[in-house]
Amino acid sequence: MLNAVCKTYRTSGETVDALRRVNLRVQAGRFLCVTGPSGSGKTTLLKVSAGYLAPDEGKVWIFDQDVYELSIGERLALRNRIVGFMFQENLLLEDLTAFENVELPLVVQGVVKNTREDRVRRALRSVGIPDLERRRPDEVSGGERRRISLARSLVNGCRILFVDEPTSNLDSTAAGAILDMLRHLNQLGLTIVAATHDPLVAQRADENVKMRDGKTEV
Amino acid sequence: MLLTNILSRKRLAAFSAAFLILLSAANLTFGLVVGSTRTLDLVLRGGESDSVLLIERSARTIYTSHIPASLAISLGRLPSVEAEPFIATVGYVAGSVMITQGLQSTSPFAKALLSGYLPSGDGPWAIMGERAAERLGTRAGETIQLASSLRKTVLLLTVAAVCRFGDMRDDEMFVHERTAKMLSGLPEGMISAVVVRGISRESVETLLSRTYRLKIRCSSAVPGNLVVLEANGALIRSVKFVGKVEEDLDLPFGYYTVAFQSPHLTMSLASVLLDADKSCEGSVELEASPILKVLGSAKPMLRGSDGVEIQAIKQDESWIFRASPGVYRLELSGQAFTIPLFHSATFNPSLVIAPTRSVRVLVSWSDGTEARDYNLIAKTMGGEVVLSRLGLGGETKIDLPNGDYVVEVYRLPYSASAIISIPGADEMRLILPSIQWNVEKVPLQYYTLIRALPVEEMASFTFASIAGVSAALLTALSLSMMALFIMLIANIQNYLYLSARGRLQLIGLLGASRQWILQTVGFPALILNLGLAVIAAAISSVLGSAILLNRLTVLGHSIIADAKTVYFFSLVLAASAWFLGNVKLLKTMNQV
Amino acid sequence: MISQDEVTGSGSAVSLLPTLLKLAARGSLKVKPILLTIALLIAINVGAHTMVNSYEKEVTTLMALYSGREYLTVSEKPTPGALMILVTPYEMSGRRILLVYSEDVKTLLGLSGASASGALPVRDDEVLVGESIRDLVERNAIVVNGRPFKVTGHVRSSDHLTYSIVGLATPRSDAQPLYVSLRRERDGAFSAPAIELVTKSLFVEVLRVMGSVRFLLYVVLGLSCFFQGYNSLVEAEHVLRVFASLSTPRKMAGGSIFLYACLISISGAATGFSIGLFTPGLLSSFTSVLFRLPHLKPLVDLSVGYDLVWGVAASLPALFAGLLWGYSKQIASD
Repeated sequence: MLNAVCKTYRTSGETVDALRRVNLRVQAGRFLCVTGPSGSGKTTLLKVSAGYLAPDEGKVWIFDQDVYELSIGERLALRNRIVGFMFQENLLLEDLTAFENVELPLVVQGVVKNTREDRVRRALRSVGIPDLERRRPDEVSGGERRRISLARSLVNGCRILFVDEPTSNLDSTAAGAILDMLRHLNQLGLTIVAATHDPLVAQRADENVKMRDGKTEV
Repeated sequence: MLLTNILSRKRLAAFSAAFLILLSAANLTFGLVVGSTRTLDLVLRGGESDSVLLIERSARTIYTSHIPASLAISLGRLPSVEAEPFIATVGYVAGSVMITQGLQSTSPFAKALLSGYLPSGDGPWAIMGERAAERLGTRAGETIQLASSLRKTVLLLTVAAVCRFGDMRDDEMFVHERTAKMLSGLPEGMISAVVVRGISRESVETLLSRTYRLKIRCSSAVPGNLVVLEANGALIRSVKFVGKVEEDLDLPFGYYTVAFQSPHLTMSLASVLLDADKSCEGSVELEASPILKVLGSAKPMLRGSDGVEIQAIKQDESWIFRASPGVYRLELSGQAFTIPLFHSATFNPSLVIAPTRSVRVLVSWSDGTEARDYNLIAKTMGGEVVLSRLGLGGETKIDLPNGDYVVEVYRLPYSASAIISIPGADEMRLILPSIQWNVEKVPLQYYTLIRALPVEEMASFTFASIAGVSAALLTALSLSMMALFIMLIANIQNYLYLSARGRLQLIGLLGASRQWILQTVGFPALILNLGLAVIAAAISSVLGSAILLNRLTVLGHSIIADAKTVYFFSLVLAASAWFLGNVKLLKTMNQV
Repeated sequence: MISQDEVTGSGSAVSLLPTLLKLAARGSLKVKPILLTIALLIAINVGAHTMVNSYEKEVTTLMALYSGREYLTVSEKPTPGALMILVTPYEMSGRRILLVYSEDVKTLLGLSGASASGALPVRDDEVLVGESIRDLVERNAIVVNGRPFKVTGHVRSSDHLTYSIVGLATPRSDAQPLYVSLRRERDGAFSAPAIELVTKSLFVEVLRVMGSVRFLLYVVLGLSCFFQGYNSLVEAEHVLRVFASLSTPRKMAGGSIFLYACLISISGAATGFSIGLFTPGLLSSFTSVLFRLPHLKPLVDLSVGYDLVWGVAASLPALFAGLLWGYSKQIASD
């Protein structure tokens, strides 16, 4: 839940209000889509909500925890275990295989090897690419890369998934497949918050929130 | 300036500091290595020279080579050729290696004298270069002990003088060539090497590579030996004969003296520089019982060297003495004359009438040393003795009226003679043969064992002989070191551009062309690099001279700083680093 | 959700290290130039050091065999069994000579390998005169410091005795005492043949030059590792962004970087050490076959081990500092 959240970017000689007293509530198990044109503050909203970017004003709660009141270690633990984030640019390491990329968050958390292997395989199965374990990101299609990124976001068993532009740079078939997967995961109980300017995504969501100039319009 | 806008002052300052430190360290390293190599090179070749070196073929260094000294004398007789004997050895003094050179004369050191005084002649003295004296803590007048590398010899020498030469000789010691031979174990008649100027290496090798025919024809009424001597007097051939003799000898290149040896006298007949097939002839006028005819009515008295008077027989207006060959004292009208009598002669003192002309007579031994204490007589072509003189030194002046004369010199048992025409020459040279009996000095078997090298190749020859390291390998190592340093310094150049990556990529996105970037960023960076290179070279030169080079030595010699090469190295390093960095810069800008 | 017992701790530097190494091995972290730099510089140091060690020790042993087993030793300090002589430089008729006084002239001549014609001096007013200065003798006498001495014979010698007056009389007070003996071993004293001392001296000179070069090379190594470390992480911006996106704690990242730097530094140093040890040996075998020179094996002693230690000491902190600096520049604060 976001309550009166404000975020301003300051550069030399210029101030940009990315978020202006934003209030937002997402119920557990729901699929919320935040839409709006470029520069409306969607990505900033996502990052603030996921605990990546501290707001200048306001509060952010995730499962009744005030995210920015936690210590850095607790916040990191929250991000690693409860929150999943799928970035628009995928952020995959080209020199690691799909397996190794998906395994990364578990390595950072210090999960034991056997458990890691089980979880990674499960994550890859859940996004429908179990046979791409040994392939590298530059050896697969754009849609498959997006799925690897999704698997990495899910591997820690998160309860809420933030997705930034899930269908960007994908053709309609691949985009459709990603959306189907997100829908399926949501039906299994995963709370999803997506930021997009793609109307297809908005159509598949349970709720839609429009953003313009840093403010939400219901 | 746009460069500082793009790369920021702080970044440029950090880069400059790091670049300067690394470049200075690289310059110092390179300077040390180059300086050490250059010093070793100079020491192994015996100094700076554009000459040709002749060394023993099987020797690995100039200090362990043995070749005949006569070769230097012979080569020096060739027109326009200078041949200097080089005697040097590696000694050891009080914990220090000391290159020790042998000198024939100390007079060339007069201008370099710092303290003490220059000795003449042989003796237990040493002259030290300034740095060598400082290193050992010795002064003129002190005694030092000099140990031989290979012999059980420790020489006690007095430091006669300290000299400042301004070159590598400042790290060396100089002794008389005889002392140097004691230290090196060079046998009599042998030297380390010959330094030759005025002739090419190929010509020398051609000269030494074959033998030449010397045809000798000689006649003598008395029995004796025809002897052939090499340049420093070693006996090569001796043939007993009476009457006529013809000898054909195949000899290597050299300066030979052909002489006739009788029981009383050895007289040189001819001196030949054998660089082609040649012939010489000689006629010996010795007699077993020569007659001296003294013209005039006054009764002369003739005494031998034992003081015994020889009786004269009056004949017409002259007096006749019959004696055995030898040197006699003739007293006539209150005057005394020394008369060498080995063949019949007429003494006519009244023949010497004015006007006379002065002639300088230079008398030396076949090895070039001045002769002393000899008898000199001048005779007309008809055999009348007109002048008799005692020569004390290498030069004697005689006064004779116009005409042709035979001038004979006697330093028993040796003699020499030559013909002079007056007027004509005002100087003549007479060379007395001296026979050295040590057959080890016969050079014939050595010439095939001599190698001619340009001086600048001497060091690489030594490296190859001792360490199996060729000049090519050393060059490869130096180039590898340079490549390594370029690679290392290029990292700092890369830092400069990588740390401003974002800005540079943005500029690229905004449409800046390569030319614009090179002009705005690249070229000023090059100026900066080159400027830093010059400063780094200066820092390393100063640090090197002040701290390192004075403490470090190579074969007892201070390391020679090579500032020019260090500056060049520094500039090449900086320019190469800039080049590699700019390749990276342009690549960085292409990455979006 | 992951349960607590599936987690080793909060994720340690060690757990991230294999990933870093995989990335390095597969080219993401530009580690090859760093390894090459460390290996090359240490190889140069070790190679030169071991070969000079070898030349210094083995060649001097060969020299000792070659030069024979007896040394003429001259010392300024009294040594047991040595003959004491007193030496004074002197000038006579413009010629430099030496006055040598000894109680046992016969032994002195024996030590110099000299011989005497005539009789040995038995009284204080008797002397032997060197062959080369016999022209200074007049009517079997020679005057030294105003005192006449009878010349009983002449010394034929291939050293300074040929220029000396050798006698028994008490010399001037400025005479220098020296102790001369023939010994079987060098015993650290000044002696001839001095070929081992000359060779050792040459290699000591080389080692001194190398010591200076070595120090400079370590400075170069350190600085270079620092900047290469920085550059490698700046160029690995994407990798660092991924790790940041995974909320990797800075402490964990720093620890992993430290371990990574240790591994790179030690493996580079070990590689360089091996190359430095084996390459000169191979080269020496090659030249011994081609040029028929003695084959000298690299000689490793404790001092060579210090090259390894110094190599790691110069590269590790610099590399770690450079990597850390590059990392902190790329990662925004949390």
